[in-house]
Amino acid sequence: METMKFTSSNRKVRFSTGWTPPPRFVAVSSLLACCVASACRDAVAPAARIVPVAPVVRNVEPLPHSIAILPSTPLASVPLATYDMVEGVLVEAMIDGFVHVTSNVNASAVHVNDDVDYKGVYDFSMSGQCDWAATISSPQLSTPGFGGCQSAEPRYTKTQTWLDTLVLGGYGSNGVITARRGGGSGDPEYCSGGSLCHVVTGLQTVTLTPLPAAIRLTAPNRTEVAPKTILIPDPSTLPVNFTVSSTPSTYHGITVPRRALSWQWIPASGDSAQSTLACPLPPASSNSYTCAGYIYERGSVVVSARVNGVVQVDTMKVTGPQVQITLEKTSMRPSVLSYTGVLPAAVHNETQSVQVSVVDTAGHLIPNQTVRLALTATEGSAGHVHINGNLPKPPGTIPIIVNTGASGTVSTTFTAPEPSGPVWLKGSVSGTSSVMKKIKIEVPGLARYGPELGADTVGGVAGAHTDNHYATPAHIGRLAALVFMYNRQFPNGPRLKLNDSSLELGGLFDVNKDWHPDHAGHRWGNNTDVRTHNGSTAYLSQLQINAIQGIWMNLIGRGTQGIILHPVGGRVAPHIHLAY
Amino acid sequence: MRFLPIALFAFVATDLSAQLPGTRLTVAVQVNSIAVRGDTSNVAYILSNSAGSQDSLFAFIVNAPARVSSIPRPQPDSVWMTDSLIHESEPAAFWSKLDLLAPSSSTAPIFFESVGIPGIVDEWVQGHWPIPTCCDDDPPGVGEDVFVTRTVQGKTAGVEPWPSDRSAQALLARLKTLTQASCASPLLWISDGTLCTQLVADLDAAEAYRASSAFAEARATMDLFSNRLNGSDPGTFAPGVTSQAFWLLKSNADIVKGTL
Repeated sequence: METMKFTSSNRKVRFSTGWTPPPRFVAVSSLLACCVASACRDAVAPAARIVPVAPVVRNVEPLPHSIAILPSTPLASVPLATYDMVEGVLVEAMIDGFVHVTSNVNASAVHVNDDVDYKGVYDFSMSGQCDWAATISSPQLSTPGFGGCQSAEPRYTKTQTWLDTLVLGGYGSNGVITARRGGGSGDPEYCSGGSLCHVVTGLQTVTLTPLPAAIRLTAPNRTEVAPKTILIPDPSTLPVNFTVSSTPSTYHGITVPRRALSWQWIPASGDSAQSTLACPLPPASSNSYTCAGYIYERGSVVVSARVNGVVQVDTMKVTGPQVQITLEKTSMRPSVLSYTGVLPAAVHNETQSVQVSVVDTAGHLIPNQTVRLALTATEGSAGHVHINGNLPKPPGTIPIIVNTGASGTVSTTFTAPEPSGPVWLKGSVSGTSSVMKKIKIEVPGLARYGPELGADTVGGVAGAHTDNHYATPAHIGRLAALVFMYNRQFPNGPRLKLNDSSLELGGLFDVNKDWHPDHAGHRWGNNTDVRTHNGSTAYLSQLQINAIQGIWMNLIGRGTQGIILHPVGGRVAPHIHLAY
Repeated sequence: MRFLPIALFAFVATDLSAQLPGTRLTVAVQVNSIAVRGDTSNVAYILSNSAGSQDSLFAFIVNAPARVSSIPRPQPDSVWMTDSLIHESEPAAFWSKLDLLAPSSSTAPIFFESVGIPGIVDEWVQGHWPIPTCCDDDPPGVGEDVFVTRTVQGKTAGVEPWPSDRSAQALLARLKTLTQASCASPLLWISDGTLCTQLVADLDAAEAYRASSAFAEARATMDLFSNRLNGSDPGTFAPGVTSQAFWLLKSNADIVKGTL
């Protein structure tokens, strides 16, 4: 076996000898030292070879064949295929047949009266040009090229079929593959006596046959404990490098082209994803087929990739002993802690029971396991734009260490924090895996409102709480009624300025960015401030304030609402606080 | 237009200072007129805040079980806010004097319309109460029903839905009930017992005429009924008859007469 790899501008060409030809092919192997056809002079006639029958792999249908009839006309170009894949397509390429050249006796550059193969005829007058050669042209690649015809007599060869394995196409968006004919001879069209110097007839068939290849997702350097299954890795050995390859991975030493299109981590049922696949897709003009995964729990890696031009999906399962956390509920309301200004009756803890266990690969409980629990609130969430490393967002409370005991399961209690937003509960066992569960702290059912109510919505503070107009639908309805009646009463009056209601998910509205309840009433989406002043200047008249009072207390949801006036000179900017 | 210069006080507080702001007032709710056109009744009121009130009048609400079909804003409309609302599942007409009606002051006539027949309804007056101030940003512990905490309730003439039986017999019987209620406690809108007896007798006589198909006599009796409510001078009411009684009974007598 003779093998050589040739690389030119991301294109690989493999030439080999010693193959067993299939019945329909008479194969040739040629070694071309360069791919610029016109510069090649020392081509070696290919030896016969056999093209192996492509293995049938998982019923993957390769791209369809492309066949073109290349006429004898000099410089003819016939489209073959379009492979707009960055990574290209691995094909078996074939040029089959001859052109027949009949030369006039007076022709000086070329004298042929015979069939000529894809290499054409050596032309002395054109500095060694191979007249009427045939080739396959792809971006950055032309093969077998327009060179390689033999200079020695008879200056041409008669190989029935040229056959080779190539990566074609791609390279950005320019993936057009063509079959092309080289130029004619250096003789004039007509020789002395008025006859054509050369009469060229016949056709050659050019065929591209994309090779079948099935996607194969692997994790090199990780042991597969079962087919397509690896164990949860020791965190100290992360990341896990996942690679897309194929079956077969190569043809004649040429790697099958592949390009990842998407990566996804799907945690096992009941587990929340703490694992990440930090694998952004590459730009359109470049290639990628690996991904570094930080895997902490059971689940599966799912990759979608294009393998030799065909989009396919593969998975790899990750399993192993693991902490299991079972929540009573994944969403709960925030707690209200005791502070000055908070009504004692409103103070209470929101809690839920959390079951903790450790299971082996088969899912059986392992008793007496010490599990470390940790809570992390998601910074920047639920409308709290302010992030201060010195004042981390409160995540609630839970015992930091529990033991699963003889039964293998321990029950503990999680207490919700005051601010809303996702809280992550992580359970880990030393030296093995860990798991994370997300608990969404929220006042459910709040909706956003805006100027469509007919009032100005004001008070968002950059870097603190920019989105401050969430409320219950009932409260929004009352505000809308208030604004409607106010505007009807004062069609030319100042528009109402609605300041803080609640944040996106309700909960603590720490107006001073310190996780303290300065805005104690603005937790549940049923309190809204209405500005009465611009700074120290009155914005609303007493008549207008009376109207707000009359509307809110008499006309809207009577029996449930409340009203407070924060006068000028108070601790906070003057405003009317509307409740319920 | 008839006018009785004697205001009827809806409630008289014995110790206004001990009451919640909003209820420390006495307001005379005078019916200024009741006009019935077709199926629609228009009732006008004049409100007078007494000199002894501590609170200014802020709002006036009249139960309107026949629903409010029209409640124009009185003039100047910049200081009056009107609307209809639902109180304990029943519609009500709502007026708010945004610039407040101080003690010793009266309003111009304010009115509303309903598709219905004049009847006896609840009314509420609400004094102005300052919005509670708070040095901290804490919500009220519970909502406040201002109809419970900040109003003074009474009765007045208003509009109620037409009865299903609009026959002369049924309307006469209804008018007799209204008359008896006007004469009795707690309303006492007619304080002259002799007059009350005469009014009831008139209605009984009218019913007897109607039953014997003596409709002319019946109509004449209804005229007599109405005339007994008039004062000696034009625009005045008979002694012991309030504006509520006058307009309630007069308007209903006209309706009955129209059916005979």
